[in-house]
Amino acid sequence: MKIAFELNGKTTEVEADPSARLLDAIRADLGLSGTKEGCSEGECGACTVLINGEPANSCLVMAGQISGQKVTTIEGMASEHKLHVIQEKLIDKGGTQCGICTPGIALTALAIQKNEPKASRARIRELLAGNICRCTGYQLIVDALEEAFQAAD
Amino acid sequence: MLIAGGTDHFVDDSAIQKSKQGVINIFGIDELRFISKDKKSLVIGASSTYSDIVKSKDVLAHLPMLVDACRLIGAMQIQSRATVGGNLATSSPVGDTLPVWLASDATIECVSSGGTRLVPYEDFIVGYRQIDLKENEIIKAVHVPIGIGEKKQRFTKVGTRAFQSISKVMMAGSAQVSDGKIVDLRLALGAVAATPIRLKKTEKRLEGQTLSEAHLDKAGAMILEEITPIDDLRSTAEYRSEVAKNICLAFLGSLIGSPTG
Repeated sequence: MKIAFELNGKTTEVEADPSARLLDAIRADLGLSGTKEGCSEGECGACTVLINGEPANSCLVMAGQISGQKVTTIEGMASEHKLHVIQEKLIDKGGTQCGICTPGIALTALAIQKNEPKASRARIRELLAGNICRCTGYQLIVDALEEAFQAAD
Repeated sequence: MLIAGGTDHFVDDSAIQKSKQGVINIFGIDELRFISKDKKSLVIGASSTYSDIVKSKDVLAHLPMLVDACRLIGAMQIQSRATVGGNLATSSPVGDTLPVWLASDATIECVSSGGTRLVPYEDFIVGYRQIDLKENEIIKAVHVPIGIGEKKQRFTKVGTRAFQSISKVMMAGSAQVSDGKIVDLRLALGAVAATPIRLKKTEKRLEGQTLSEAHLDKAGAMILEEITPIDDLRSTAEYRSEVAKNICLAFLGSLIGSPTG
């Protein structure tokens, strides 16, 4: 089935099984490999994308459900020649190591920046609970996000 | 099959098989996604997400224990998709919102082409993962009566960690304190029986009582008699019993200003 939706700001049509996972439509059918597959059951957040600006686990969303919706993947985060400030700070602060969780963390951070740019450190940790990182211990990620939110102020 | 947020879909092989025969997406239907209030009740549409609940001033004003329950389910990724109706339909014994409906005397609105049926939530639960929803019906909304006077409410969840974990045991409690006496007490627990349950015997024994520390001791024994937890991969029956008792007593203690509350 053809599914029409807005992907990273551009009108897109994809030929995909509407009952399959959005994650598969993104990675296999659209060829965008920035979205990662971790646990495949909504625990780890590696496959996080934004649907209408809100974080969602793309491993749990049916592809057909995004018809007419706005989806943002990590490929849509940077502008043409410049990384988003969240991405820059994640690099500067060492808030990334193996990189599997990073696209999901960056997109969740984008939603936090939109919804609660003044979130406290404790609140940032609470809002990041759906993104599991096994490398950094989170400290450097939270450092990066705090600086990014301040920089964007 | 119908699908709303679908957060339980891809973790269930039989549901995945069933979806191959066709799916109707009801997530985007505005008539199912609303929160409204009149003088008598708060009405929450079945497709309301946990994010919708957490953001709602009306829910915070009248059913704060539901806000606490929803805030602790999964994290942003789940809360943006998972719905009130989905938790009711799945009817897992560990469904976090379910004890709240028991403790708030909620009624479920079921609709079909034949009309509307209002079922008290207590009767809506038929058995382990079984609900009183007819073949051609869908869950449209939950109605919660708005209490007279100030009701004290509490939701407590115990899991491996605060967020992004399935509960080992949880409690929703509601009561009024009038002239030092406990009135309209509701104690509901999840993950301690095949279905979410209300502790009716304990409620009845404490109703109208002026609570003292001695009462709390007796209540603890009664609570243990009313629950039948099991050992499973997330916890043990022994742990669940002890914690269920303690979180109920902490709520009761808070009603009388006990330091353990």
